[in-house]
Amino acid sequence: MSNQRKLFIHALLIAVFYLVNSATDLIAENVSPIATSYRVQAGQPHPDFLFPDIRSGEAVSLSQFRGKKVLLVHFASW
Amino acid sequence: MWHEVTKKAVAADELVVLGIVQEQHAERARLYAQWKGFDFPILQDAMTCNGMAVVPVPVFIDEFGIVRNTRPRPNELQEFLSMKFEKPTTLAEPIDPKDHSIASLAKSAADNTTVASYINLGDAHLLWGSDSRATTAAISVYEKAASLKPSGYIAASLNFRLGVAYRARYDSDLQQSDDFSKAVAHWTAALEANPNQYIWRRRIQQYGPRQTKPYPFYDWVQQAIAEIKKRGETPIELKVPLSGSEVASGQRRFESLPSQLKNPDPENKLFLDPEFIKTRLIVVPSRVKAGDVLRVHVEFEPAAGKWNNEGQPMQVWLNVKDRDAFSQSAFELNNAPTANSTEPRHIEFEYKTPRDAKETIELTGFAVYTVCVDEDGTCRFLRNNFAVKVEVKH
Repeated sequence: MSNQRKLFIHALLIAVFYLVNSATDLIAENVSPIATSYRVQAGQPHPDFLFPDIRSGEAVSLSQFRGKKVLLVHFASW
Repeated sequence: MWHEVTKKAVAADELVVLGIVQEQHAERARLYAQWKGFDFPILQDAMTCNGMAVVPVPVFIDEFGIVRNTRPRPNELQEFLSMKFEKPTTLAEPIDPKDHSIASLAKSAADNTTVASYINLGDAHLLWGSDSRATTAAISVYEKAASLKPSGYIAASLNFRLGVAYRARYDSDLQQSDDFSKAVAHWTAALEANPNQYIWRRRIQQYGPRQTKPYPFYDWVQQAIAEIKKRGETPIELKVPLSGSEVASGQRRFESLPSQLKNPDPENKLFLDPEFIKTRLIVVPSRVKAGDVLRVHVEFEPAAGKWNNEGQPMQVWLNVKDRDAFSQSAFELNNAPTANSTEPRHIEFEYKTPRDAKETIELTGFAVYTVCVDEDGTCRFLRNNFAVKVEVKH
């Protein structure tokens, strides 16, 4: 086998290796990656979220309010 | 503030107000909302799942889910309402609740044993679990994530989540004796790794010494209850009562309260309680720098006995060399109004560690009380010795 062909096969194997592992990483992140900070920027979509309503316990998402303007307020009672 | 300025727009269906509270106990946020008359949906994110590190943070979001202002002021509301936004090419992917169910995430975690999969499953248990068993399930799954040795913010965030889960179990019918201590230890570890996380800092300060408190956290509760009752409404009941630390105001200078009480058993003659009353000690934070102040919560819970309230009130005495290093070193607790009772009792005190403190300090003390034993109905005046070790950083 010529050196050029060997190099090509190595490069192909490396490319396949990273492609497979990238796909695995995406699967590993699964439903949602873990947020490391609250990063929202004007002009960008706000990530959807799903949390329980403190009164009813029902699941509420941001996306269920599509079609309406929203004021989202993160706060605490303390 | 926002509630007032948005009322008209909400009533006219021009705007939705949506709140997310960073609270360990949802019913406290419910009481707050009832007091203030908040009628908009409020969601709970006890674990800071959204990465929030500070509150309050308002955000304007348009009808396509696009962020339009990350720190709006109330006087910018009308402009936001009047603006016409074009539908963008990219929208945020809506969440399918089915993908976030406990069953779905459990399958994902079984198929892909990653830190993220376990954390997502643990979150789901705490968010959607139907009863207190969810707390144990969350702890188990978070511990699996921890065993994979994550690093950086993920590791710190996992510690915070474990703290939330342990504290939630502590507040439930499945409480284990060291749950509160473990919660504090995990929160302490989280904050040490990420000292800029303001919400994590507040979670510890809530239970911690007055020197670190910026303000009393829940001193509004009594006023809220009184005003709600005055309106003819029934206040939301707090399932988890407030501890002294949660209503104590901040105090820059450490102060020691003098006491007239005397050592109730100076020669150690009283018989020891063989665990008719169980004792728990929780140190907040779980590690301190030498010279800093810590707060100790001492909890007494009837196990095989009941408090007898007909005689001498319960007293607690700390074995101390330097009384000035303690905010209070002797306590007398009021008797309950009935002859016998089984309520948990607790005291709290603060201790200023010496600047030359060793790596571990042991604090000891004892309580004396009358307990009636269920088996034979007799009531005995007993002594209960306790001790806790404090880890000191240098």
